[in-house]
Amino acid sequence: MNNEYMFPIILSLKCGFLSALLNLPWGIFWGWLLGRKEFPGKIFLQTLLYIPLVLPPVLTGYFLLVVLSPRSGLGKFLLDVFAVRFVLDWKGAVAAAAIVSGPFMILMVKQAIEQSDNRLEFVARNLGAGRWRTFWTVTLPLAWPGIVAGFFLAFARSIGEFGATIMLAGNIPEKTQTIPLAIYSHVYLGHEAAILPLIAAAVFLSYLGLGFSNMFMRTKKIGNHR
Amino acid sequence: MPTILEFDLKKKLGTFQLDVQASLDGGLAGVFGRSGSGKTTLLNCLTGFLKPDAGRIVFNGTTVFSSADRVDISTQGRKFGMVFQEDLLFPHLTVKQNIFYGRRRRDNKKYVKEVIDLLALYKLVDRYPSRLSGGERQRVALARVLLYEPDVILMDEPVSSLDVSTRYQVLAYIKKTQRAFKVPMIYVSHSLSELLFLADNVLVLEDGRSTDFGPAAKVLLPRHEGAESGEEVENIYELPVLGIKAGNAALAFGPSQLMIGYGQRPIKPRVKVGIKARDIIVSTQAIDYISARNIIPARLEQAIEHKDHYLLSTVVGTYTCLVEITRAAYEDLQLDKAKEVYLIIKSRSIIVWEEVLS
Repeated sequence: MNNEYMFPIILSLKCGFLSALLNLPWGIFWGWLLGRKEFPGKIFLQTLLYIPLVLPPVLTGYFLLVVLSPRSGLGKFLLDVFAVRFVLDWKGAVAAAAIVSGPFMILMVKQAIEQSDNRLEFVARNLGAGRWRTFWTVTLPLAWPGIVAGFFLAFARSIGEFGATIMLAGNIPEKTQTIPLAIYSHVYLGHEAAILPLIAAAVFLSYLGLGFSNMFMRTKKIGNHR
Repeated sequence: MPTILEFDLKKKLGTFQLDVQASLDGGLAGVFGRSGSGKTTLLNCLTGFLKPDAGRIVFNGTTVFSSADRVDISTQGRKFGMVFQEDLLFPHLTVKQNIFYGRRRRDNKKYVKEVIDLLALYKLVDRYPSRLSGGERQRVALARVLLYEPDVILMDEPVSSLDVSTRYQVLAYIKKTQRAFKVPMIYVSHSLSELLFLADNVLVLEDGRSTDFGPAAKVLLPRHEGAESGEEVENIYELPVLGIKAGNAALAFGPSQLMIGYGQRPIKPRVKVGIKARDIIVSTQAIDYISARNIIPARLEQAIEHKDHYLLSTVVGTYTCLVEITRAAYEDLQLDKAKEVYLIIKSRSIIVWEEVLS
């Protein structure tokens, strides 16, 4: 296969994995907070964290563009200090995918934490474990199937990302062009016959991601041994 | 025995108000209360899961909680180990990982071995909790808290989710453990039989208040509601085996012998048996022509009057034997005047518990 196909496929895979990876600590933290703690304003925070689910991705992308552009404070800081560039760069595609797929990860972790028996955390504390040890040895392992399911769901969502990516990273062949962007360009230019391998790749990766996610969701919750 | 745990606690939860005071000594102290009496709230306050509104908790002379002095040592810092109604084992860890979870010390391997031996866990160490029976799980939970070496172990109805035969097996392990390691235990239950079997002294909780404290039999027997209420009092003994012949065993029961159906069980030096208080017949005279195998002379110590029945506390040698009879029977036999009675027990009414106390 030539680069015309390989580049978008590899970039999409990279975006999928990196965004899911970035979402791991992010999703675990917020999922745990929303799943375990009660605090004033929780519903507002939760809605804010979930908003990328329903916002037009183009709008999410626009916000990201405003925030991360070198003309903004944060964008300039990231460029000057870390030499990291998001606008019109493949890292922008990763950032866009991560933001759009983030809520899926949070949702799955929250659900997993809510379903695991919090009395086991009391038991760990009663046996002398501190907060961190309890979290690492009890909370996290019990929520593990949900966390892995969230990882693959975020991966699958990232593979399908279009709107936010095109706003932030642009649609530059062999630089920022992911599978959906490549399909868009080919159809736009009337090369419909050329998109078949890309369609196959998109369907295959999405199916795989969603399939793994479902598989782990089905894993019997470890907490319910009776 | 010296005082181990002293508390005076107030806690309001919704419309429920806990207001208890007690001083418990070492050994195995019981807390008796029916559902809604505040047992679990009390335990949660003691372990630090719940913060009392007011009061203090003093353990072995050290204040672990005091609202007046603003002392509130954390759950971790208190070292009050808990055994819960449900075993609450970590499902993702093996038995071995479970029982070592709270253990910090690396020395004293002898103690570790003793705990594992005593609770018969050696063959189970590599299993996951999902592959254990209910009784095995509770034994693992007990080992887990023992290896943590807490200053005191609090137990919240640890056997109430088990079936009857397993229940007494686990109770026997609890008793054995307390004797072997001398760790102070507080056993909370709504079951008279369990507390009579286990506890030295019992604190009674009623509607969130401590209403009585004293030796188990003394405070518990007046609170018996009778078999009709579903509350059965059972006498539990471990007795030496004198001989086994043709599927029957003769046990030494004080100066008397108790004949029981023994079946094909392996021969053991001692067996544990249970006899329900209402399965025992009382007579004021020895009876010759009767099918029941056991006619045992006993001394009538105390008769506790209830609404529709009497609970008799009788003594055979060093054993206390409780008998439940109707009010009419009590009056007909004029037991208020009797001192010497005969207990008539069918062999079939005596249940052999498989587990032997060593």
